[in-house]
Amino acid sequence: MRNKIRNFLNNGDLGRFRFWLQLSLFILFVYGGYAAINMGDSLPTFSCTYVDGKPGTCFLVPLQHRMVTTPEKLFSYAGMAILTGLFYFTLWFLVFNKAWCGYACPLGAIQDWITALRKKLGMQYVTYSWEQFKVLKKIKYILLLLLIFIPMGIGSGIFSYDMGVPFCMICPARTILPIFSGDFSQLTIDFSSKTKMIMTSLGMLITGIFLVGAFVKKRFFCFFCPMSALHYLLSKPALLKLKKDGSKCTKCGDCYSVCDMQIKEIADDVESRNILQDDCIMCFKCVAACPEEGALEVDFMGQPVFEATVQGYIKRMEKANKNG
Amino acid sequence: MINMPIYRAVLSVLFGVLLASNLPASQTYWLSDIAPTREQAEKMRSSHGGMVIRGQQGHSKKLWLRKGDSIADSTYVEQSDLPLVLVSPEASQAELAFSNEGYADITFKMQHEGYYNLFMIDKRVEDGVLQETVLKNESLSHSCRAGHDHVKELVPPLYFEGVSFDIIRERLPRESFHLRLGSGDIITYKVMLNGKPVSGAAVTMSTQKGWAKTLKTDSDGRASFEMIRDYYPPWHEFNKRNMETFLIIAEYESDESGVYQGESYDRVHYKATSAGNYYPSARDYKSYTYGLLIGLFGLTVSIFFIYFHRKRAAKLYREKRFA
Ligand code: SF4
Ligand code: SF4
Ligand code: SF4
Repeated sequence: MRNKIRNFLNNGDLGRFRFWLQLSLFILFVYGGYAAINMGDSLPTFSCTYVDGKPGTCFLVPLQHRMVTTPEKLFSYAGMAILTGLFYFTLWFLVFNKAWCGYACPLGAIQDWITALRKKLGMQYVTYSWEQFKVLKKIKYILLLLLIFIPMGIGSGIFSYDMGVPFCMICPARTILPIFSGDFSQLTIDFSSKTKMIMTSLGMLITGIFLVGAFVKKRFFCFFCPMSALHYLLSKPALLKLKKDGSKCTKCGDCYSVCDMQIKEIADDVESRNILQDDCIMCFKCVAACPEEGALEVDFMGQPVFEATVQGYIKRMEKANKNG
Repeated sequence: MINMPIYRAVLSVLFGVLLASNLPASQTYWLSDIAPTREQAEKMRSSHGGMVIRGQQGHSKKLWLRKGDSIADSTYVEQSDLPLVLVSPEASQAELAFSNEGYADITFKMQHEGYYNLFMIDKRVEDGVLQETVLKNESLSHSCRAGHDHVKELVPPLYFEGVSFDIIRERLPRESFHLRLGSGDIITYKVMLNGKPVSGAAVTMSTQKGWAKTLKTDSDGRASFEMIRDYYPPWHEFNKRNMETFLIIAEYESDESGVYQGESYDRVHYKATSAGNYYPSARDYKSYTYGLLIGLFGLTVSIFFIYFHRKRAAKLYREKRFA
């Protein structure tokens, strides 16, 4: 019985499963609030607060909001509020790890759909060189630091209140996701102050770049996403794991070639057991593409749930070839 | 230095006036959250829905009793003995009294999320007419720290059975605790008499700068005002948080007769007042055109960047190959 279930999972069509799960979760995170679903305000994914029907709120909002405080308060009740938020964020995150990005994030889904459109149009995609990759991957950590320190600067009077929620102002989720509930009001430039004008202009500029970027580069934005940076700081103890058995790996590079995030280690690293890298979105396309029995596996609380198998690999290959 | 309370007590005895211990029908009284002095104003901070005194466990609201038909000409009443009723968002009621320390003002703590409704009710027979006056203030208590999802059900207004004559601001479709009423918004008041909407009541809205308009309520008891735009500063001085007050006065006459506290009457004159705040409309400072232009700019520049980048990469490749 156990083996049957295992075979069923390992032979499964991950792509299709992922598409439908992403679509369902997109509906949940954009319209769930209309069904009175309430998941709190510490979600580890872009359940954007600017979306009317959100079922809960992206953790980056309370984080940025609560950081607007003086250092004294930060070490008393304001700090407590931040820690409570972080606690719930961690609880959500510990279960699914970065699979929040691969399966749940509505902005992630949009990028995948734009990629699907590009594929349909038969256009070539872009990859970064290794040098570019090393520099660019640091940006998300810088953004994470900024979204914590700018609000603290507001609290200490260095920046104006118009600098509030600075990351949200440049986040493409803010401009794009509300459109799905017919709200276009985030596509405006706010001329009420110079700060607002600059921040909203940056937001629209980044929206434009995002659309083109996502078209030519898979998961273009995820590479710069501070949520992903925050994830990685907590991902070691999470229950869902991506594991590699280096002794079974032939370094064929199949996993690397399907990886949207261009993670080299997935093929190159034959030492680490826990192979999760900071940019990984836990889409598990690498596991589905791996032809070596047991070289890559997805693990939940020590139990393998999806494993690279020869049989599964062949099945998926045949299907892919049939579909052209 | 003159001791104010004693000074006033002496004055009262001298002139035989108890300053506003009752509300003469010919005058309009209302509750305002705008401080009378600069010193007092400096203690107030703007929060969701108006001015508050900030506190760690919920803010406090401070209101002053004012007299006058228009905001600009209204004076601050110094003393009043009339009781007040505070209804919390949880519908618990408390009796309060003005402090009368310099001004007839009242401060109350808002510990819960939602609307606090303060009522001051005065009933008196004057020249055979029962004068029933209700002063109302609706104050929002909200902290973003408390989150936003569970408070949605607290947005609708309160229908309070303790008052016979009430004016209720109907919520806008987009209303949330973050709403700022703005120029261009349609602000609707519903006038209720003994729990039922009353048609034909006169409702006057007047703004801080003196614009005023009077409407009669329709068959549903509603009067709707399109908030005017009366803020035109130069661009560099524009402040989207520029808050101004508007005053609502509703009046209605009925020929009920009866006896109140031993005095008979053959008519009732109802009057209710309430104040609100409004801000510049977002349409005054938000532009879709520029938004879309900048978005398109980002889009075009990225397309060109990628196009030339690819072209260059392709050339390099060829050069290497046929070198
Ligand atoms: S704008 Fe971005 S960061 Fe802000 S709430 Fe929305 S998704 Fe989160
Ligand atoms: S990394 Fe990508 S998928 Fe993950 S939260 Fe950010 S935008 Fe969403
Ligand atoms: S390493 Fe694997 S799971 Fe992670 S992003 Fe790349 S393909 Fe997806």
